[in-house]
Amino acid sequence: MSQYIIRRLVQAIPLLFAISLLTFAIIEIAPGDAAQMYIDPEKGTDPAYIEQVRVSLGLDQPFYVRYISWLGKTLTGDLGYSLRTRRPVSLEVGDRLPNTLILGASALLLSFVLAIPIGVISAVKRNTAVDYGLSILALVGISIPIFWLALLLLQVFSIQLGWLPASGMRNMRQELTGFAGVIDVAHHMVLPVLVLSFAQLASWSRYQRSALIDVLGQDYIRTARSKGLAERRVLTVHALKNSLLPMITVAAISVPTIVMGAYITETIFSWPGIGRLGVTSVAGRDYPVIMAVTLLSALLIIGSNLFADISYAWADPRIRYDSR
Amino acid sequence: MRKASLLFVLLIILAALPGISLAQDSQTLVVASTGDPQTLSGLLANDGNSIGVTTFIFEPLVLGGENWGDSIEPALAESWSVSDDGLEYTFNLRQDVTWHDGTPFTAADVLFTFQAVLEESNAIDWRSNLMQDGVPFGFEVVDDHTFKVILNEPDATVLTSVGIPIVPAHAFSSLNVVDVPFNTNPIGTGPYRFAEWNTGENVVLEANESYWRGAPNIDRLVVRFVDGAENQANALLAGELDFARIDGADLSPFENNPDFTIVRTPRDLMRYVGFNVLSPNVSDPAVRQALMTGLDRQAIINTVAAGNGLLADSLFNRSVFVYEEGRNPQVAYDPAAAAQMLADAGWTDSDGNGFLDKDGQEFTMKVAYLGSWALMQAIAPLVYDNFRALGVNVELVPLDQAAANEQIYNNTAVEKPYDAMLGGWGLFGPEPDHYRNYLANETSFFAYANPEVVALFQEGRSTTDLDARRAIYEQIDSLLWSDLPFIPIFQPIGVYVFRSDLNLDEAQVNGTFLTGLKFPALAAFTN
Repeated sequence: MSQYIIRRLVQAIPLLFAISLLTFAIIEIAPGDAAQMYIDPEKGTDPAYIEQVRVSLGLDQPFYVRYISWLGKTLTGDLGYSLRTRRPVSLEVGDRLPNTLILGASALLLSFVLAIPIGVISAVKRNTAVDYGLSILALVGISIPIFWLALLLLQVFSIQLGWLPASGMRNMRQELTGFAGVIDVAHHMVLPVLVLSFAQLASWSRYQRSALIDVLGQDYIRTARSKGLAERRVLTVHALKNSLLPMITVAAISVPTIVMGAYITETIFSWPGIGRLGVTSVAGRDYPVIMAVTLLSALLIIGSNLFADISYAWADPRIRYDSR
Repeated sequence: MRKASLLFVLLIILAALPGISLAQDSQTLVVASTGDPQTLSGLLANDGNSIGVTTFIFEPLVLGGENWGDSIEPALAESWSVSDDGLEYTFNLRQDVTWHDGTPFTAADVLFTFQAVLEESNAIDWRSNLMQDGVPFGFEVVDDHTFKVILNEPDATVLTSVGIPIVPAHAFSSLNVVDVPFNTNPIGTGPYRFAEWNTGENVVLEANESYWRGAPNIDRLVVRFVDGAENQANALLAGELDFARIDGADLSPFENNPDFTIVRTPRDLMRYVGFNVLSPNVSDPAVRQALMTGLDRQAIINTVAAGNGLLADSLFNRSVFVYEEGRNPQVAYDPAAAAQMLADAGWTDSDGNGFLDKDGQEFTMKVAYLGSWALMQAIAPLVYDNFRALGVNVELVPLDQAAANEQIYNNTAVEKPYDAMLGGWGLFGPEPDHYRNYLANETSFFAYANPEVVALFQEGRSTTDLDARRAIYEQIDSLLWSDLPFIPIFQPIGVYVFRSDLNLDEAQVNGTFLTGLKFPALAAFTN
């Protein structure tokens, strides 16, 4: 097993290298460079000034020189400085990452906690009115555009009812610390977490339903039933556990989508997360930050895939990777 | 696992309870900005998000320069005098000003700031302000509170040129002001001092109790980042913002709503159709006038700005000190008259193909613009329809940012790859000389350098008598209005929405300031 993990990690190195080169090249090919962030289109800007900016940002250097210099620094752990703000990239990303992680992790947890019971109920009450109702709900859930749902919830719960905050992650009129601060952040998280969970919830409950139906048709379930076990016990002890296996994969593969794909939700709720940072950086051709965000998401994808494989092997003794 | 998730659900339910609403602190004012500033140093700030913060922290010697409002008023310099030959400006600095760290403000700070601006490696946009024909101004620290600017030739624009945010000399170890911690931890003299910057969330400022205009009434100013006018409108409605400019958003929830006050004020910006006056088809001023007559500018205001715009009657913005509404005859939309004017200029459809021609040449017009700028994208089809209706074969050329920089904004070649372009500019302030680079310069967007206008601008710059200057710029204004290197369409009107219990009578909402608050120190909540 550990051999397998090491092999996978070693394989990731050339992959990350290729991703970095490709991303760098795409930024290079895209029109414009970071100096454009120093031009206000509503004001005339002296071309000589733009040239000075370009020189001071090092953008007058050729592509390969900048890539090699970036690579060398990154390998020594120095992510460089944002061309837009001239702040260290580690700070730019480090400030935002925890905010996105707390949002993503909560959404993941909430989706899981809700999707499994919904899927189980659908499977057990298969082809009944309950199942059809939940199926329709799931279909609606998958079909609703995220921004629309976000604006709807915002209109109802923030503006009309005034129960929940509409934006940000903290109350800005008061500095709240300790438990009050935690509650304050949780209060601000409710709507974005609900929105982020919604799409996952819909599809995951469908996965859970079909996985459980699949398991319920297996021979060992028939055996358990024929032993005279209570249906409740058959379901919770024998069937549910096995039906959860595919869910591990589904959930792990969704992690990057939830964490890095929260741009719309983050923008609507003004959440200071990494999605907004990524989009701002791309628009500004701020390559040190783009590179950091891209590599982070690459690492996240590789990591969650690996995690899915490992946990699968751990949960299902029939799967062994080392023999391959 | 089960316990943890239960706890989480409980937390969510708890957090959702309406009962936990927090006491409002009326001494905090929350204003909107679209995103993180690029820098907190007033010297480097050149984008709206940065200037929106630094304008609270820093001050120039004199207000009225670019980004500093539309009237010349004393700030860090309480008075000034000009020598008889017009070559020496002596600024008497306020003696009661201290930096946010308690150090007294002196002439040495002004000298340091101007030297840092002139330092080429700092790449500061203000640099050309402090030069005359490529030669820097001379400076002299007479005493702690007297500072002299020495010129090579008379220049009436010095007061607006020195409108540069002053930074404290003692906060820097060298003239390098770019890669220094100051830019994320600034020290100024303004009404608010920097407290914290939470990236992605806000910049928090605290009242400067020893501010020379008097301690601000509001103790804490939060500039929070909410992207998009609609999102800002929602945050206002939810009580999470107190003040925002939300032109473009749906205003109906704020109208007839006693909780909110809407103020509309013109912004020092202009949207225009510029001509490449060297392009043969549009080189005749009569043709350019005909095109203005045939352009339904009011329809453009109604369509792209929901009516929030002022129909222009000058090529100068209204904040220019010589501007006078109605001095130039307004040009009304009249397509029939426009067609007649074009015919008089020799343009007729002699071959019956639907397009005008003259001497065998068809009237084609390539209109270039920054396609990623939504406003230009909205204006372009209207210009297309109007000109096309006159018989002009218009071709729209939307450009991406890089191409627009190359072909329009940074293009210093006299020959331009377009016949016309769409643009918007502004924040020039009261000084008409700030237009000189564009209206008397053959390398500018319009390739326009009418010798008469060039000479008048030159004269205006070196004339120090105010009445004489006024006469010169009025003459330029009329000349430009008939020459039309560009068709001025409209000046946008900023729509500011704020809480009704915010007393802004004295503080004024000022459209030319990017923040919208002219003297934020004077704002107060009435309850």
